[in-house]
Amino acid sequence: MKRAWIIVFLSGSCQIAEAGETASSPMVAITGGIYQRPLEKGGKLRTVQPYQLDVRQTTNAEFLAFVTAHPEWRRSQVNRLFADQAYLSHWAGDTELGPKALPDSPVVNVSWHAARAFLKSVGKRLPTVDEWEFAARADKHKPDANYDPGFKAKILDWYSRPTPAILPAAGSQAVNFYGVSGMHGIVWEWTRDFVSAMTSGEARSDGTQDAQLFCGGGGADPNQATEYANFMRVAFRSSIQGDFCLPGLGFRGAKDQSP
Amino acid sequence: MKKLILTAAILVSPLTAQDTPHPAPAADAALPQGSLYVLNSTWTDQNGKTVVWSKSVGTPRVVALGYATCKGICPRIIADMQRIESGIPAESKTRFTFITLDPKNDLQPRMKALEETHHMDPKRWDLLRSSEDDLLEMAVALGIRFDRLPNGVDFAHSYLIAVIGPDGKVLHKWTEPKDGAEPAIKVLKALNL
Repeated sequence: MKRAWIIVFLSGSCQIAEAGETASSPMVAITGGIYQRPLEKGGKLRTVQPYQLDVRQTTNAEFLAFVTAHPEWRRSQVNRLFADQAYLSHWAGDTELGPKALPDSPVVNVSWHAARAFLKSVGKRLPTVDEWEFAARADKHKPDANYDPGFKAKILDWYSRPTPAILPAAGSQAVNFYGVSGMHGIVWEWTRDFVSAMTSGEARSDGTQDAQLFCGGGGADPNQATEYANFMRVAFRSSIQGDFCLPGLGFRGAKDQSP
Repeated sequence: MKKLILTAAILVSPLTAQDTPHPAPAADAALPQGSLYVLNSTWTDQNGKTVVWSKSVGTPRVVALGYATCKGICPRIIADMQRIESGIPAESKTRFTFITLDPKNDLQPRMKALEETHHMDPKRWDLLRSSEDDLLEMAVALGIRFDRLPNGVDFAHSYLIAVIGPDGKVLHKWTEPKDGAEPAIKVLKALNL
């Protein structure tokens, strides 16, 4: 009960916390706008509708409360359609975090399906690729720092470092322009429509394989990969499946902005 | 591919509802690990009839995703499904299932028109639509890639025809058009259903 009150307080007037069994991150409202999806062929502009985004990733403690209330999502009981055998493998037990999973660290080794189920239980959903990227291009002072070489260099520096065995606390990083913490620098994050990423992760000039496998002429264009940090994310999304559980991959929630 | 093998290995020791202290959803009871028939989604077919996905248990399905106005690979996908259809016995219980990637626009009349355009046998074909969320779950579970293009009309999507056994396990994935219908036909004939 105390937890629910804290969330109501933190998130101010825009958010009423779910009084259900599981707590989750406070959210901020993001107005949205027009943006260009990283690496999209033809450089078309997309519109991001107003939305709410969790200020930090979902934590081990929050996910523990979820699996405690929903036994079918426990490590020993989850259906293999929904999560591979690495699911929550860094936890000490079915309902025990242990030394490698600090309560306030982002939960990792969770599949897309598990993230979706958690967020459903708290009345949220995963952010779309566009919602995630829209918020992730902000630095501390600007909504779009994509053209700032220092910003990109910092992200690439993080990508080049291995995931630490013990993750820092979710929300421990300085917030960006939107009031969102840790879009880069702790873990990679699931997106709702990660299946929209379709590059093979390999630069080709003719794209014949893509033309054969995909209709509609879509998919990312690796030849636009001048933005290497963006390319890393697109390639990563295109390489994963919904049951994958990885040690550096967590998630945060989003919501439509209610009018 | 590796994932498929790993999934298959897990299937050797299926975890059933008996192992769980809490009752699992009814349809879940006897299904093997990795069964697609655990998905808890409800669909509408080309005749406006409700299809509860989990009630597919006992029925093999040939499943593909596409959209009605697609002029790229979808007609090829449908024709390839029909190649499979013509290769299995007429009395087979197998259902041919075309799921729309565009539930917003592919409403029932359009799905019905698609059935007629491609002369799909109404006794064997289900042309299904659902919510965006249930569609995403299905697409992710099948491992298909798709994206609505910025023109708002078309989709980029992978070529995939999946053969699903009566227990919901994916028995075969046809991902290269040039591979032909034979492997899928063989799998279905072996089921003898």
